[in-house]
Amino acid sequence: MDNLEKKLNNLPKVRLRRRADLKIRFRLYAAILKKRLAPEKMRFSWNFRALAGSVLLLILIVVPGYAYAGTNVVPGDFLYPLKMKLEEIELSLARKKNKAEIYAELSAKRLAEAKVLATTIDKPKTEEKIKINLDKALLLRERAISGFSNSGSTTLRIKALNSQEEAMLTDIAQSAGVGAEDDLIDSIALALDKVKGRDKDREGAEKRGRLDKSNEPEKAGTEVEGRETFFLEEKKDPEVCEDCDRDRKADEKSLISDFAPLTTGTTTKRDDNITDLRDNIDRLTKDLKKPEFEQQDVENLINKINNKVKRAEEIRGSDQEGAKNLLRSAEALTDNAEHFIRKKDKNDDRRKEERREKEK
Amino acid sequence: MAGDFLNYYNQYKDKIFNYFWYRLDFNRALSEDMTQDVFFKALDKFDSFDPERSFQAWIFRIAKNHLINHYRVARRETALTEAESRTIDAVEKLNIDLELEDVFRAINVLPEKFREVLSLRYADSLDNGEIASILEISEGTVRTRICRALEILRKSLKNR
Repeated sequence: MDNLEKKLNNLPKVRLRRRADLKIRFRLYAAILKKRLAPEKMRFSWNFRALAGSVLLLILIVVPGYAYAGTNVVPGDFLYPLKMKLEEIELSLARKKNKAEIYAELSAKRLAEAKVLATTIDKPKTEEKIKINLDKALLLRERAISGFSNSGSTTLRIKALNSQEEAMLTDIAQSAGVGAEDDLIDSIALALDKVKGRDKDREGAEKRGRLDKSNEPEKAGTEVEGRETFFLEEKKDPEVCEDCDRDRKADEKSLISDFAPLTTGTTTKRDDNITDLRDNIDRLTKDLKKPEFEQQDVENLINKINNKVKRAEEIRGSDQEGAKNLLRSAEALTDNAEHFIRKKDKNDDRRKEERREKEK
Repeated sequence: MAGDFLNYYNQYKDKIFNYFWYRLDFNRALSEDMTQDVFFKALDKFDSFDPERSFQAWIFRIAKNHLINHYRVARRETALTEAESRTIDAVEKLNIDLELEDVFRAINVLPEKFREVLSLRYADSLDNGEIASILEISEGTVRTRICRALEILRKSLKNR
């Protein structure tokens, strides 16, 4: 090797500065890590996007659809407010002529929800929720019927609605059971009255009772007439008419009670009503004492009705309004008893018999 | 895989840097950047690298191509005189002995093919086989070019 080659071999060999080395090293680490994760990360990213998209779709379409249509979405559920909102929107967007149908559907929905709630009646505040739903259903029903009448729909449509709701109320009554709270049973019975149109019959009977002049002395008849007139007219200003105030109070008392004596010394209307009611209860008891009915339900229901009548008699002196309500609900229960009483399964007795034989 | 690559990096980072340093007018910053670029390119292609072959030759090939691209992008068309003057400035900054300065200057004015083989041989300390692999020429050609380059260099240095 000559001199030149020696010199060439001694050419300086430079090295990467530490700072530059660290910088490159760090970036390489990052690149390696990125390269390692890249295939999975892309898959994950794609999967995450697909998942996010699905979840969004679920939220936007499926969940509202479920909330709106699902009968299992009941008051107290997380999705219930969404359901209410969707119904609100549907109503607001509906044409006038279609609103009656929507009201009818919504009424049925409220009853369906009440039915679901009635199956979980042990949960707290469920009975209150059922009562609220019944009230809502009846209100919506009235709007629906009003809409049908206004649009000239046939009576058949209204009959169909009544029939459907009667069936649903029966389900609710049987799910809730005779053992449920009195308030709830009363609500169901009164709702049945409305659906069957019996509430109007009762109101009419009450009015007719007041107007009935047969076997009444004229004085009483006059009083009755006066009360009738008062009932229809607006209340007179007591400051203007001193006598009117006195009459108004007297009339209110008798109107409220419905059983206020029209005259002294004759059988009171109230007593007649109670007698009629007791007769009806006896008849009902006989009618329900059949093997196809659950006798425990019959016994419980009859006891409830009798208790109401008894309480009404006890409080009629002090609380006319309360007595009236008790009797009204007793009547409603009596008339709708068959909706509350469960029917026995025909095979039940046979199964019980078989079980007894096996035990022997 | 990552471990292997980082091992290779540790092994060849200075060589690649040195390679660029000699060819980019001893510009450290630019050489560092180019070194980084080369290793990133190598990382990208590492999956296709055959471990039975020489990593050194492989990475130097990448470096060479990268340098060519750099020149192409920079559109460097330098006259010999310009290159010489730039190199002189750079060499002076190196603070090396005067004899080596002369050698640098002399190398710098050699034709490209001779300069390259000499640089690879002496600056980068590669053997003939690796040089042949990098330049994609035969080993015989490498030997021939090195001999020829040394002859020219001797004559050049003799004349100074």
